[in-house]
Amino acid sequence: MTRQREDIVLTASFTVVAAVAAVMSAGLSPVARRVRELRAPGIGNYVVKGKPHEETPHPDDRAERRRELAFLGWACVLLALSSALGMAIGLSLFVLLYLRLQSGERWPVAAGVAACAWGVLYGVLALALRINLFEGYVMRWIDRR
Amino acid sequence: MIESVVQSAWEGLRLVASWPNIVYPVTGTLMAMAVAFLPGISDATLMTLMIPLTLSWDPLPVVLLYGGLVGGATFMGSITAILFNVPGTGPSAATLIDGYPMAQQGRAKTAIGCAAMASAGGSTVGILVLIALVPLMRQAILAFGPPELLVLMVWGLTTIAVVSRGAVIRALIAMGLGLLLAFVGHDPRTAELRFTFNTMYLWDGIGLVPVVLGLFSIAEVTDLGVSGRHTISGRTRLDELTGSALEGARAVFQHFGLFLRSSLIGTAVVGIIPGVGGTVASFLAYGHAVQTSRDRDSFGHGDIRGVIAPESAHDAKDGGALVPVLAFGIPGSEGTAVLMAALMLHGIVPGRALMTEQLPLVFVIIWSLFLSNWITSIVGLLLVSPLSRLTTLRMHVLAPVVFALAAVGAFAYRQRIEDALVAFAFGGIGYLMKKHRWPRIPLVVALLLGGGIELNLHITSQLHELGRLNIWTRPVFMVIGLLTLTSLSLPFAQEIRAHHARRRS
Repeated sequence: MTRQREDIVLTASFTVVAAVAAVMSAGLSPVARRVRELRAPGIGNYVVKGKPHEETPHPDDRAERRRELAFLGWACVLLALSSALGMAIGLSLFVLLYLRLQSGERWPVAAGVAACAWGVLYGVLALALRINLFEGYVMRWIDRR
Repeated sequence: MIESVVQSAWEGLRLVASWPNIVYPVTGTLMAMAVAFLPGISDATLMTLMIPLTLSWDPLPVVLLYGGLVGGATFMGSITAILFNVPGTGPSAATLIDGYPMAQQGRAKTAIGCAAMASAGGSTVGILVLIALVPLMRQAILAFGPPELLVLMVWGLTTIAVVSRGAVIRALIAMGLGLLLAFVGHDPRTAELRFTFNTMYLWDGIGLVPVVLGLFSIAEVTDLGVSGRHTISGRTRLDELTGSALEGARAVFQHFGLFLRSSLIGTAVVGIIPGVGGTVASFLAYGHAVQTSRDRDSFGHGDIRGVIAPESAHDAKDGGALVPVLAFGIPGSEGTAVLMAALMLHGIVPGRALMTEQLPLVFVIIWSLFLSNWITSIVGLLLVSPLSRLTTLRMHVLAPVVFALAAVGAFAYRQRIEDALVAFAFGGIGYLMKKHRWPRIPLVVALLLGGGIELNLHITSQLHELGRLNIWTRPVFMVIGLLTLTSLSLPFAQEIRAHHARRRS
């Protein structure tokens, strides 16, 4: 398999997983109802009717497995976003989505933290330390066009 | 000779302490501290960036600045290890064994205070030993050839048996996995490709930084999230945290013997030998702390001695590590290689002339390193409260930030997006290892030392085949070999003795 094909397969597979995760978390699929249970206590401080859940000291195995799956899903979202949109934009977007969808933070808070993440990634790493952050396959494709 | 060394040491100290010279190491230290807080970004990155900026400078400010840069990064790696279980540098992996459990118990302030004191004290011992050893440095370095390096690294590997009490078989399997991973890529002897599965990415081998970030930071955040813990310390307010920085600093003096022995391991045993690295120093010191303690069961569960030993050894090593660079032009790490390049650009050529005619300049680097180590510790002590507050941050905010930092840290290591993927793959492996109580440290230690062991084994066996090596005429090899055997057999001997004692009672 050539390098280019590897890249394509890698990005495509993460994009598919990320798309499925996005569709499910947006409530657009019948599975979404089931997955909403992922918003069980422990992964984050989820907002249910404006109040955070109580901490469960001894979660049962099923809830634990759901949380594990949620983390796996979010890891795939992170990899998909960063490989598609690049490190600076992709990771900031990941922070925004995680805080809003998973943690239930309000949009301004999530956007503020995401902006700080972008500031660190772009300002400190790319500008100050001159590290060439990965620009993303989608961005590369747009550049070529 | 001794008189000229002392005179040069005094001259070097005078140069560092004078105004405005002192500004350079202080600036370098603060810059390195800020950068070292980002995982995956090494001191070498910052040092490389400083080369074009300092090209037009005089040699003295450059030497002062680089001394600060070398020392600043060391301590901050331990801070992230204690607070987030993320070792900023390889040697900090030994600190997290007991440092992170302390943070989880709400004793982050004590752990940071102890690390700061041990770090500053260790560097002081390192400098003093270094000054004493400068006249003997040539003989000391030449006594270490490939066989000695091999056996020293194997000694470092044996600390796995000490660190993983109660799970020795699992630790050995994890170590085997680490060694397998270390052998991915080019064969150092024949340049043949091994375990690469026709994937270009694996040609350069599996990087340490993505593996460490995955095994510790990603796995830890996942585990905390899945287990339902809201914060690292289990507390949400700073005043709920117990312990203090003073208590941690005091602990170093309470265990002064251990601190001194660990510092000597760092400087005299490991520091002066090029290519061995601080990781061996930290793990040897940690193993020594465990082996010489009567109540060993507390190690790995937040024992402060498990912070003192690796921290003092790690910082004590820095001074010694400079000598092979300055005396022989043999850089032992990426950072010292960049340092050497920067010095050579300013006409400071490592070698005999530097160690004799320009000895004060050597001491300028050593003293600025010493100053840098103390500044990092003082700043660390001053920042104990805000740093400890990070352990009270809620997981739902911390998790995405740590994930993003781990991804960018893994990428920044070699500027390859695949490294981020590897980090997350090892995040999964690390989480499963933690969940099923498999020790992760042996994997990291084996991955770190595997390449060096293989290379030195090849050279040693080839020298033996050519009839150029007789180990019976190499006392250093014999002594370290004996120490290695003792280190390996001691836990088993103690087990047998305890078993007999139980049977008798």
